[in-house]
Formats: sequence, C-alpha cells, structure tokens
Amino acid sequence: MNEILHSADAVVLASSGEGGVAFFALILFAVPFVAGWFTYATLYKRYRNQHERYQFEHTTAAERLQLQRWDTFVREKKRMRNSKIDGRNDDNSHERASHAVVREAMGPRNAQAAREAQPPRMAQEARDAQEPRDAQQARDAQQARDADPGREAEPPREG
Amino acid sequence: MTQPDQHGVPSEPEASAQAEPAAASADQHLIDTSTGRAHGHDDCPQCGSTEVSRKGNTLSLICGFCRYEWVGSRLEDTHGLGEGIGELEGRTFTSGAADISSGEDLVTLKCQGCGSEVVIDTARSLESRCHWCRSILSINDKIPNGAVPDGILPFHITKEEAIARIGEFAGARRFFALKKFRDEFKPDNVLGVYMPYMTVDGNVSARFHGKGEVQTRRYTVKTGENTHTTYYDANQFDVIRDFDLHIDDLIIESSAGRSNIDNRENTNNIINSLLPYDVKNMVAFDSNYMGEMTAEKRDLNIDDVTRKAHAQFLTMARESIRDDIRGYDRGVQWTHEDLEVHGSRWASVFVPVWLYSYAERLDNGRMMIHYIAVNGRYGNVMGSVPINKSRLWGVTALVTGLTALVAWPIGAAAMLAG
Repeated sequence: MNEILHSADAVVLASSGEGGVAFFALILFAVPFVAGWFTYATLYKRYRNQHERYQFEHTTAAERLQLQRWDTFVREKKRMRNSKIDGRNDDNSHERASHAVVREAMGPRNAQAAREAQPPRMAQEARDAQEPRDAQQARDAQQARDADPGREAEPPREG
Repeated sequence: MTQPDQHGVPSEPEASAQAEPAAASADQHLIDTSTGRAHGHDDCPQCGSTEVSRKGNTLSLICGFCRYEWVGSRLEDTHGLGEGIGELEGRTFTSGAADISSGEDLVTLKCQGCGSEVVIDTARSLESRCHWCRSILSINDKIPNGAVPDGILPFHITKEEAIARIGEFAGARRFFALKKFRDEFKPDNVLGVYMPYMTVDGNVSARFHGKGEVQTRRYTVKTGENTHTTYYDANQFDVIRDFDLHIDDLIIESSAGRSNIDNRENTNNIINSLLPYDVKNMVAFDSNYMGEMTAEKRDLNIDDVTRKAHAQFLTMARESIRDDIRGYDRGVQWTHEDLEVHGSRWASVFVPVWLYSYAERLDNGRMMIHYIAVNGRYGNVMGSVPINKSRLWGVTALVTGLTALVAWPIGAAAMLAG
C-alpha cells in the first residue's frame, strides 16, 4: 500500500496544483464504477452476442468500376480544437448521409404496370383546359411593345 | 386441401392459375429454373428406385438400390447466375424467386407406385413416404407457395460435428448461464434446418458528395500556468466520388420471421450472423438432398425485401469507396448519397443451419427463444446463452467493490497530500 501511496504522491506532484489533484481524485473515485460497467458489458456481450450480425459489406464480392473523382479546394481552416472533421461519417458506412436517395431503374413490376395502365389524371385534363395565364398574357404584350418601331431606347443616365 | 386430378401431379388448379400473373408480368426478366418434372416419384435414372439419398457430405446423390451415383447441376453453371452483372437492367428473377401466389401448404400427390394419395406439408418438408408401398414421393418442381427454391446448399458439417461445436460454445459460457439452461442443456437436441434466403446481384451506380479535410498543422499552445491546448489547421475540400459497383450474391433473408432482427424481442441476429454461405456452389434444388431435414418456407417476395437490399447496396457502395479517401486524414462528412440501381438479379436458395434452441421466460412473462446455431457449410458457431442476472450483478458488484477498495484510498491520500 505504501508503494501505491508513493506513486500517487508522484502523480500528484507531477500534476502540480490543486486543480490537478482534484481531477486525479475524481478519476480515482470514478474508476470502480467504470470497472463495474466494463465487467457487466463484457460478460453480457460474451453470453448474448447481440452485436453479432452478417458483415455483408465486408464479405460480399463487389467490383468497383469507372471511378471519377472531384476534389475542389474550398478554404483553409485555422485553430480548430477537434482532431476530426465535424460530422464525420466516412468511417461508418451504415450511417446514412443527411440526403440519401436510392432509385431503381424499373419500379416494382406490378405497381409499374398499374401506373402505366392508369388513365390520364383529372389534374392534367384541367391543366390542358386552362386559359393562358395572366403572366403569359403580360409577356406576350411585352414582346409586342419591344417590337414596336415607334419606341426609342432611353439615353444613358448621367452620373 | 384439394384432390389430385392426374397421375403424380398436385391438383392445385387455383394455385396454378394464380401463378400465371407473376410469371407473365416478368416477361423477359424471368430465368426459368423449373424442372418440368411432375411431382411424385423422384427416381433413380438407372433403375427407377425412389430410395435416393445424398452420398455422405458430397454433392452426389446415390441410389440405395443399384448404387448408381450422379451429381446435381450447379445453378451458376446452368443458368449463368454469376455472369453479366454489368449488363443487368431492371429486375431479373428466377422461377424460385417469383412472387408467392398461394398460401396453400398442403399438397396432395398421387403415388405412381400404388395409386394412393399422400399429403405433404410443404411448409416443413418436401418429401414424404407413401404409407402403403413405402416409395418416396417428392415435390420435384416449383410450386406457387414459395416452398421450393431454385437452389440448395446441402449440409457439409455433420450432426456430430455440430453437437461438438455447440457443446463447446455453451461449455465456455456456463458460469453466468441461467441455472435452468445449464441443467437442461442437451446438445443432442440440435436440429438440421434449411433456411430460405434470396441471393441478389446488383448493377448499381453511386455518387457521393461531401466535404473532407486534410490536416496541415498541429500545434499546442500554453493557455494557462499548467494548461495547454492543442489546435489543428486544415484545408477543406469539396469531395465527390462517382462510380459503378457490380455486387455479386448479396444474401437476404426471405422468411419474415427470420428477417425481423430485434435484439429486445428475439435472437434472430444469431442466425443472421452465420452468413455468408458459399452460394456460388448451390445446386439445382432436388428434395433428395434434404433427406430428413426440415425446411422453413419462404414467405417474402422480392418487393418485400427490395428496400433492405437497396439499403445494403448503399452501405456496400460507401464501404467500397473508403480506401479512396484515406488522404483526408481528418475524415470526410458525406452529405449526399445517391444510388441508382440499374439492374438486379434474384434467386432463392436453401442454406443449411444446425440449430439448438432454448425458450427463456423473461421477467415480464414474455418468451425469448435463444439460439445456438452452426453454419452447416463452414461450421462457424454463434449463439445466445440466457444469463443468470443475479450472478452477473453479483460479480459486477464484487469487481466494483474491490476496485473501490484500491482506488478510493489512493484518491483520499492524494487529496490529503495535495
């Protein structure tokens, strides 16, 4: 026990300061709880194996082809406290990006066939039957004004 | 259940009629793996005996009467399932992966030997012995209830080997195992089961967009009398990667019960973790490979598992690009993922699993089935052993207490010394 206390004194001296001592004591207070949690989690994991799964992303054969790269410099960043980029997700391929889209070239067979068999929707018919909108009429009128030979270009403003 | 209407053919008129729409809608995308053989006798090509079985652990079948041997055909060879992934467009699927259009599990066969009628429960088995003349009757072609796959991977690990591996696995986990489990554990109760899966090939394009950073400087600044802070400088880049990916034989559960992986409710992840299997070696389905093993029926269609397959394609695409962005030592934050599935090819397969199960009644009264399972091809074993929680908590408390006995006096001494 004396050796342990001597080594503790050495650590305390190395940390030199009341803040360092308090921090060291706090760590020693927490160590038993961390050890207990670690024991429980390790044994539970060994017996129940809830984390085990098919590692399909590593074991399934896949050939990558026609890789194209674009790497464009954006800016230089200074005095960052974090050793990794904020929001890093390239190290966990199961974590989806904020915008993820998957498209299949052909929809579900039956659903696609049903969609193709559908009559044109009412909304389309209504759009076809619509009168030209006001904005379009205004554009048409504008084109007519531009084509008017009587109008002259405004002189450049001064100053 | 319906009655047979012709010799050796299951009389399922409504089922046959229902099978047509799925096949018709498939058009050119259907790979026909049907055998065209009538259900009933699956006899020896040499002598006509139905006493056909698998020869040991090989892929050969052997006639028990005249000892003639023959080997089933590999689906990859006969139907080109391993080729042309880059040319896949739309969905292509084999006969065994076609949509399930009948919920009828019982099929009545007429024995070609004596004319009697024999009922087979296809949800559990695809062979039955005629109780009158003892000849074996088999389901020899696809049926619309999903019970017959395109291919099968016969067991390679024997029951004795499986028992030994399960015993070893559980033996190494005895101390914290539930006492009832320890008392009742009998690995001899292991069962061989064929589980239904689908294999899917994918011809996909992926495009990822994000930002990456390369560290240019790392330095430590003194910020107080005894404190230091480390800072990092880095260059930020806009990163885009665009590529094609040809995925070969991703394996997907096609049984609803088994694909529901929820660790709070079940231990299906154990069976899932036995994957992968050598599906390249699957042979065209022949019920003679099954012997006395039971089988679980497929009850999911391609549409039911497409979402999961696409999510796994996307994960694989992300994984496949990791080696190309190693230069970004501070990492990459992908903000946009775009995956286009140009084509996919689906087939169904039975894979072999040795299964030991134990039902535990939880504190809330619910039953939890724990599996210890062995991959019937490679022999890898995985399992879930029910835990004696009071013993586990006791040991946890002991470790916590012993550590406190050492750590806390040191901490107190440090405080006093400081």
